[in-house]
Amino acid sequence: MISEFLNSWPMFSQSYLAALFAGLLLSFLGVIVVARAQVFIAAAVAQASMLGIALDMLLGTGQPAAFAVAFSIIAALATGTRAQRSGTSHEEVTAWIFLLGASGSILLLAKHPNGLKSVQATMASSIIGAAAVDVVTFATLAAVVGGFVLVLRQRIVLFVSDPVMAAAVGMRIGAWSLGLATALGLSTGLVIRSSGLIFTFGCLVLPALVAKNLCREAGTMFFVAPVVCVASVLTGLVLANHYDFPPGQIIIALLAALLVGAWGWRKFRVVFGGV
Amino acid sequence: MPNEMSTRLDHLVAPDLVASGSLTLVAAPPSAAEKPILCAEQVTLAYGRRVVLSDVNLAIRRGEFWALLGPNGEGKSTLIKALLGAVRPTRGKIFLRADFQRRTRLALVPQECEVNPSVPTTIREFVLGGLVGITLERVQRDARLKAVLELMGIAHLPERSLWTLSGGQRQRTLVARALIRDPLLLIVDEPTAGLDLAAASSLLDAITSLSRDKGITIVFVTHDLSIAAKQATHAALFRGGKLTAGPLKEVFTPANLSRTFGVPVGVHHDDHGCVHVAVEQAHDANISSSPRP
Repeated sequence: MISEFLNSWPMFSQSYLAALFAGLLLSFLGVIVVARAQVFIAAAVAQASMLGIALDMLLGTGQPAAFAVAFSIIAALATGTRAQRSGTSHEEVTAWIFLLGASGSILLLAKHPNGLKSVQATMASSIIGAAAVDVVTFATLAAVVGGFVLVLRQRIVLFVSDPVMAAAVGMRIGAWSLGLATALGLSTGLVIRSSGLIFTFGCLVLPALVAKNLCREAGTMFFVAPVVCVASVLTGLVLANHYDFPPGQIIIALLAALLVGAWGWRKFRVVFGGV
Repeated sequence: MPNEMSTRLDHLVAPDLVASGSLTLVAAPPSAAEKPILCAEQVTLAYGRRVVLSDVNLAIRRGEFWALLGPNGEGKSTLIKALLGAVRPTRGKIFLRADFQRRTRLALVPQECEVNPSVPTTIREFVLGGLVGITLERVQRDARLKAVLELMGIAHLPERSLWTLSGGQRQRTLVARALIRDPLLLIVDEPTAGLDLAAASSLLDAITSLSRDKGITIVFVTHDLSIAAKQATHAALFRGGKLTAGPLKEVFTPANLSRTFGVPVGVHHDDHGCVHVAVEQAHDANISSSPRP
């Protein structure tokens, strides 16, 4: 099985590497998303980038990545700051963006030749078809975001867990919110265009949820989630290659199964370990 | 050991104790001439168009124990968020003294633990989170952790999950996280809310001893007149979007307290200079009467 995978490497190396680096990038950000209890926001941001891709297709500009990134950044910023200004809850704004993204992307392309097919393909698409530029982009972003979270993880943990205390000790929480929302929007928008909605959303939240159930401390999640994601992506790629399944879906199925195992481990720990 | 910390502590701290890395503040008498640690001038705070507090003037000096009192929803927590920089005034300014602007000597004990309960964390990790913005060597960091856990009576629980603790233990963990910063100014937001009597009393003793024994300036949000009368040197009363603030004896008048709480409150000063307050019900006065020497 592994030799088959290695044999396929020359043909699909860009797709494999793109999947690995995209997973790594998203798993770092996913820890922040999960720690802030913003899983639904991640879904809304992903849907918003779908709306961007649909609009690009409708206008025929040929810049799906730019549209996807712009829409997901706007969505991430709106879900992060709207509630503070007007008293509207995060859930309201997030639900609105999610539903607008989901229905709007279909409506925009309902009359477009091949439009609906394209939207459905992006929603369900797998990771095959990445280009060299995707690999370089994801690798660079993963290195930057990974370095950032590993160096500043104590600050990040305080910011996501207790923003008032974070402000009290001098952290500029407005700037942090803006920076993290931008990073989330940028990464989601870029990955979704090349890897599809399921892979993007799955890699964003599932490794972090697995890590949350395995770890005793939030800081450790920043190490465990990327390891879980990279291991799942590699295993998924090998399995997909052997059984000829779509790799993105296999990877997400593996992560979902791991999450069930992690829930079991946590239950075991609570029952027998008392923690 | 002429490290960064001893520089910052200046003359307030015994250098040999600083080197140990434990809590080392030494009480120093506050001076009226000394510049305030924290100062609010003509501050207005609002959420959108809803003004919560207006024309707030406040000057907090070293060693003072401030009690912020008032009914729910009058803006006590909003004011402390503003003092901490989490809420921006719509008018006026809040100043921190120059040596506080890096905020390494400032800490907060929130009303309750607002951490997302599904996020795993141990007491050790949670308390060490209080060191954000402070650079320490590992030995000093561990010494501080040990010292604050012992001070709060939770030294035997460092690896326990925060979510398996009782309410009282969790509140003590919040205080420990604040104290690990070795603060000169500690802002405490109703830390006894939701605790049983024994846990509340024990936590209050721990906090008030910080002011008494270590000279930490404390800003304490409470509903409890007796705590304020017993411990505070200064008080701020919140009512109708306005603040009445100053030394306890000037602020704790029957008129001010009755206006703030909406019930008649009697106040008298005994021969020892202690302040006594009593909520007067119908015909006879009763309830809390607590001296503050």
